Amino acid sequence: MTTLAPSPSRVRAITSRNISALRSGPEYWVTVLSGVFEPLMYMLAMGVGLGSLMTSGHWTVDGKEVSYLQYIAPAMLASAAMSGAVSETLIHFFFKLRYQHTFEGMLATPIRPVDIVAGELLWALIRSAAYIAVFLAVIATLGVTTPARALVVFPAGFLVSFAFGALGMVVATRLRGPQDFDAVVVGQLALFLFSGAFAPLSRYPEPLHTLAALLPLYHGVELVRGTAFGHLSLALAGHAAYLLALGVGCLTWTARRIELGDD
Amino acid sequence: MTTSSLAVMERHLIAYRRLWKSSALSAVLTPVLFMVSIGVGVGGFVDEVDGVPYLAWIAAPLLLSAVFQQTAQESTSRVFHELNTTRTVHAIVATSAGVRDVLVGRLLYLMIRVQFSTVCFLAIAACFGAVRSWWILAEPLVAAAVAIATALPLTALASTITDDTYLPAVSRLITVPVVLFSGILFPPTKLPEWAAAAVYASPLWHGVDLARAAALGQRPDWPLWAHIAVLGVWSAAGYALSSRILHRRVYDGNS
Repeated sequence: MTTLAPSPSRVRAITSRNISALRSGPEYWVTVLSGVFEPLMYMLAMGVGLGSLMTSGHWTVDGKEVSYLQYIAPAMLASAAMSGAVSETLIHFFFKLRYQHTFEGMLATPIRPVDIVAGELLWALIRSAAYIAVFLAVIATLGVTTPARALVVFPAGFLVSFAFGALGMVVATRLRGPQDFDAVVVGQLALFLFSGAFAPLSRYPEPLHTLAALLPLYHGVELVRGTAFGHLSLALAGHAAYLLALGVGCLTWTARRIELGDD
Repeated sequence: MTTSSLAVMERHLIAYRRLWKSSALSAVLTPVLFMVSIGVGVGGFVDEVDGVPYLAWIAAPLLLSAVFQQTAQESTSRVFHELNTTRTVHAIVATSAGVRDVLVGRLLYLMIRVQFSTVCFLAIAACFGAVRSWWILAEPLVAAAVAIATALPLTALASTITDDTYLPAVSRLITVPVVLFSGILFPPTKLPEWAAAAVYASPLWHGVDLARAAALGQRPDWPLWAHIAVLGVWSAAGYALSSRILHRRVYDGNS
């Protein structure tokens, strides 16, 4: 079973290839930077725009009253962590695999599939970490979190990226082609809209409420919101365990699948 | 509309047979997900807007946002690939069809998709009590006008792009902000003046105002002629620009 362990130097080679792709011109930079723009736009439109239609006093975290903008801001961090990771490991990974044939050249060298999986995931995590850092600055400015608590929020966001990065790879290996892209986009939108980012899940009627509580981004949002507001509880450990198990499970599954070569 | 335009439309419909299930489902599901997530989840905390419950206030506009997104996707990524990857556009103009047929044929094909999702979504929105007037029958017209005023300018833009890495950025920097700020979830009057002015320039806002007025049986914020004028200007300018750019790309050999 030694074949399942990635080699650190080869993983580093895969990750550096992605980093050097940034030097090829402005295109990739525009893509990476625009990824953080989208959740920021959501935060402004919902938090400021929609928030202006509400009377105050509805939104509380841990019994403390907060503004709607403060309520959704940490959730947007979780969402940015998710989309940063997923846009690399799902769609971009699929294009490299199927259309750009990026991995074929690599596999002609001593690099093995498992190194590629680990290297691409590592790059996805680096990209998400940059998004998380931007949002940490945003939520600190909004008074949601303090620099000390940010030290806990960062790994919480990182865990969200890890879980979704690994989940994205599982989906990428299952995609048949462009006919599945719509389903991927709607799936990601559903995770986002029913993550409890915009309203507590208890606002939804019953079958929907329970279903939404099983979705992974809900656990990400709860974890990030809880740590950001410094509301530490045992439930947070549960959310973290859920995300960790999801990430490890998906990663193992992908590595096995690639090792078996059943493509 | 010529036989060649219809042939182009038919070509797109044939290619769509492989994609239509997930595509049609996502076109209907996207506004429904927003309606339930925001309308039901957040709507209870929002006071009535213009004397209407929040869910009903956003339902018809959400349809327009889905129409806009569907059209934007079709007019950016798809146009890009047909010009650069599959070069379908070059193949089409190698026949008796011209650039005009490329544009009109694609619009006709889009109309079929847009009208399908409009009817499906309105049926669902009616179940949520969000359809309150017979003026709703005008909704397909509004959806068509927004689709045309969106498709043509974006086709012009996509025809100038030669690197597909820019495509996600077009979606995140243009489509998403337009959807979020075009008066669907909150009125543009809540924005600072400069931002509101930008919103009034977007074709989506004009469709949103008309769609909301039709669904609720209210008077639109702007007079009808003003909406028609703005949508008309976007469509005409988009047509002029996209046909010129496409012409250059496919006939001048510098593609």
